[in-house]
Amino acid sequence: MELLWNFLQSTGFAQMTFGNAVMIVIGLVFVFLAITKDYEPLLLVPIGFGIIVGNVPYVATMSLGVYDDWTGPGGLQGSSVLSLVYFGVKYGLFPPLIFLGIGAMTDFSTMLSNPKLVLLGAAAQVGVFLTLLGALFLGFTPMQAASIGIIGGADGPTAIFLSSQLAPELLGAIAISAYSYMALVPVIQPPIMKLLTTPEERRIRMKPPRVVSKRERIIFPIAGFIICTMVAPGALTLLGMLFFGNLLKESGVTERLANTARNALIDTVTILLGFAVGASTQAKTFLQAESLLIFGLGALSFAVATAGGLLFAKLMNLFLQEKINPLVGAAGVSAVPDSARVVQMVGQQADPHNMLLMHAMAPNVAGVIGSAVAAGVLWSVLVQ
Amino acid sequence: MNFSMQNVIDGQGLEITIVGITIVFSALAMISLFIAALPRVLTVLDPYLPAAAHEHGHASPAVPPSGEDERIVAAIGLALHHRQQGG
Repeated sequence: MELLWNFLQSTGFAQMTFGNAVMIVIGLVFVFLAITKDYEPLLLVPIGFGIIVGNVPYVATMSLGVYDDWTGPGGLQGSSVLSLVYFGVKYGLFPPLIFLGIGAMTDFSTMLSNPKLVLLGAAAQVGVFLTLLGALFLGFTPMQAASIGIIGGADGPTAIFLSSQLAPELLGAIAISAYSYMALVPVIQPPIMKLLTTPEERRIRMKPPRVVSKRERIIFPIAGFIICTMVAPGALTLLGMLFFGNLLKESGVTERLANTARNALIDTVTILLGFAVGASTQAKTFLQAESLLIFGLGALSFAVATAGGLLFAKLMNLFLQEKINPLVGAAGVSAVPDSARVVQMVGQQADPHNMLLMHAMAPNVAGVIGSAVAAGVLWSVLVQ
Repeated sequence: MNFSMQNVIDGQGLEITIVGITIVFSALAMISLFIAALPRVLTVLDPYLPAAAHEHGHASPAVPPSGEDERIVAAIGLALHHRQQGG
């Protein structure tokens, strides 16, 4: 009888707290939104299910959760399977591997054909730093503020990488905020784009991009990596993997490696990363007033990044003879390729025959580089 | 939570912002300049690094269309044109 009683006391039902129940419902909502509304399903299904797994309560003596790792009394043998999966998040292994896959599927030729559009990717990173200021104002520590600010880079792996290094206690809220707003780019960006541009500006047509040679596409990842990491060594890991993946793709002699990187590898790591992030998002850290502030700051960062790219494009037009359609600046928010598609959509509302998609891809991919550089800078400055 | 501008000052927010934006812009501006200069650099390097030596393309050589192929293409084009016209 005592054995039965002890067993009943060890069940999840007996251990369940209000926080656990709320988090499980949140996980279910994410899975529901991902499946029925197609909101970033490749991330929200693993994250949502991970939240459910990570918030089922268990007896403290059982080593089952992501935080029951080898630093506990049981050592490596006593660590849980989930903690071994979480290793890749905690020590920043998974995001660079995802960047390897992203590099292997990215085509930088639109950026190479119109190099001045690279600056729009830089301008959009102003959202990162202005959000950092806002987070500091609200009372977050500098490391937390940097982790929140990088949401404005609109790059999930970068946000997870930086927050896992600087503010792991906010990782769950930051990851969910980043991916949620990336899914909401078609909702967030258009009103800002229409507010900051005139109908005449939205109708500007740009010259078709030039053809980029294979040699340029091979040399760029090598030179781009050296240039960026000499300026910002903190970006070494992310940019190294990004440009390495791109070289695998463009060299033409490592197609099977590139194919693996952009298919099997990135899918495997995405599953593990999303699941581990979800499992680490627990009630005691997520159900705080801070999480609401993080969601608010996340929305602000996307809005400021969009405005930053747009306004910089208008500034550049003061000095250019061949004008840039300022809508293209909004694609500096590196939610590839969604923000470029939004530019195309808003541009076609003003002129149905204006094809802006390929032009918008230039600042879009430049923004990936820019957000990685921003993360590297913040890591270098704050870890010293 | 303690909302205050003093938090921004204590956290060196402005310094981090200015340094960060400067470095991001510098890195991407340097990339932009490199990309702009690259075609000219490759033109200078052409005698030593000809483009043909790096074309590892596995595509088959272009075959000029035969007369029969041209007739087939023309027929397909005409059919598509009639379809678009609603015929």
